[in-house]
Amino acid sequence: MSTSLQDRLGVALGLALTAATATWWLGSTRLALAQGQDTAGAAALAIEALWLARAMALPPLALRLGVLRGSRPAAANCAAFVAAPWPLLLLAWSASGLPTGRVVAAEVALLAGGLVVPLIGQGLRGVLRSTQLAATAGTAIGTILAAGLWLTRALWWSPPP
Amino acid sequence: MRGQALLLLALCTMAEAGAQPRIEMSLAPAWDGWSRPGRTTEVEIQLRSGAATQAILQVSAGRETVHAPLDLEAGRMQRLHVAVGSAERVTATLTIDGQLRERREIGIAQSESPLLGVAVASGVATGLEGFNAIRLELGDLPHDASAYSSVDALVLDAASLGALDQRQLGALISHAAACGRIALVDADPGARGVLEAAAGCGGAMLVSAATGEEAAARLQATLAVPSTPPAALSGLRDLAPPQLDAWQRVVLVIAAYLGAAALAATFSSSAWVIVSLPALATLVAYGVLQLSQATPHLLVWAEAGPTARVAQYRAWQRVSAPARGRARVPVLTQLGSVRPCSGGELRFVFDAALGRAESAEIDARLFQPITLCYSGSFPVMRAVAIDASAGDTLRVRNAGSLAWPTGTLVGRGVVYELPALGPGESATLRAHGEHGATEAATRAAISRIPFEGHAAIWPLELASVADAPVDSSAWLLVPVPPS
Repeated sequence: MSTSLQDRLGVALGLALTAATATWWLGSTRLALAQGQDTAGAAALAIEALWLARAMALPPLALRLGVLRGSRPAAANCAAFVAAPWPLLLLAWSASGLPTGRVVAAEVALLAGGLVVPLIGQGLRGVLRSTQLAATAGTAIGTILAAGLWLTRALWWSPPP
Repeated sequence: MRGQALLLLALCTMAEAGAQPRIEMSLAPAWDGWSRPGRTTEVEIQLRSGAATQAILQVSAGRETVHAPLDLEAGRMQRLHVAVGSAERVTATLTIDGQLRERREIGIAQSESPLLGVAVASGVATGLEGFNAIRLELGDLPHDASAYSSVDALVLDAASLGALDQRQLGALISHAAACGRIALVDADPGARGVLEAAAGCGGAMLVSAATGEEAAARLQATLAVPSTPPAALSGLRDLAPPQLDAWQRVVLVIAAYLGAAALAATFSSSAWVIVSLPALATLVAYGVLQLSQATPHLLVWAEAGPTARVAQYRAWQRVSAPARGRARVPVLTQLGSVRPCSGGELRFVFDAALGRAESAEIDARLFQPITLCYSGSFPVMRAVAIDASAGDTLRVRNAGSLAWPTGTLVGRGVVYELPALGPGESATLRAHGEHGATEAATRAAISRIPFEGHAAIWPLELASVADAPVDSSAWLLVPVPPS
């Protein structure tokens, strides 16, 4: 992957995730409005999906980019990935009944993770002394973290009422 | 000495400033404290203050709250009659300068059986089989027509009828117009005439009798009269399409953001630009939500019996919330009694001087439909007669004493264009293929009449309804009696 593409990976993934979630959310909201049903559930699900998708994608992305590009460019990439859906999140929050504090806290946690995890990736490269080996190890660790997050998601994110 | 005097003066001033006016407050329910689940009742609040002061009265019944800012005059008794949902507990609180001064709570008995209200001064025993009879004093009768939904039948004698105040009488007349089941015992001919002139359903639900027993028997007979259930918004879905203005706005905001972000990601190599753009877009999206105005819609659906002089209507004022937060919907005061359509939390802001709600407030979410329900009646004279029919043609005559405008006639799945006709005039109608703009109303009309029956439907002008939304529609349905 070229350096230019690596620098834009976060924002590209974030925008793709935003577009996909927006399409699903707006479509289901349109159907709910046509059928006279509540739209808050779809909005809460969209927020949950955005959070889970970013939380699961962030560890492998941040660790790998931390190994390959260093902590600062990787952190900028991860911040762009985390921040890309914010306008959609605001709109979905406005349509949902989720508490503001919970949504903000989740974003702060993601942003903090996006800034800290690249440092671990950079540290991994320093410890293993091989970029290729560190990238593979970082991706593996990130994948395990993402799987763990998925399996324990009920602890992190209770379903919307 | 001078210092002591100043201290005394300061203490006196503080004591006077801290003194709270003496407040007398009482809370009493209509219908002797009886109602039925899901219905509307009324409470009377009496207030007297020892000094002129401003206060906030809050009446809570279930998830419904009525909020009334008051200007209390010194020594003057103020009476408020507030229609509320029939919750098991109704609470009234009075707050002055942010401090809770008085709190009263009453219980509303929820009857599973139909309720028969008996307001008979002579004390004659009256009952209806299967009904729970409640004996009423004059003050038990409500001042708001919507509160009559608490009882299923009512017996009134001349003394009770004559003692009603203006607002109580107005509510009773509205109840009669809304096909309320009422028996008048030995009533004054003048008062009876007023009620009979206003009665809906052709007067079939308003009976007169000389004695309580006769009134009960005649009321019993009205139970056999078939009644058409009132129109519901769910049944008129075609006339009330979903409000999509907020949804379309959100689509535009997201599309614009994705476009701008894709351009920035493609042409800018600055991480600062790429990271700050979503934050900036979030602020813009927030501004768009806050500055958006909801577009209200009003749908009025009225129905009148074939020879009735009064039409009953239901109206739905709908707004799609433009953002999360407190949404305020002005109440259309000319549309009769306003009630929440669903069981969600709602707060009415009550104008104590006018004795009615002036707006409704709800903690809403983006896209959330907010609907206020109105009901009432208005005088009408549309008498349609079908003299002959052959195949797809109908001979229609205006059998009333007033002309009618152009409308639509439906029946047996066929739609006819109904021309404007003067009294006594006739026209031959042929099946009309294209329904045009009235198609949704025509479908709604067909769903409200038996398949073998016919009905005429006319659009109504809402010019007389002040502050009616631009996006409004109103319809009058008049069934045609079988020829």
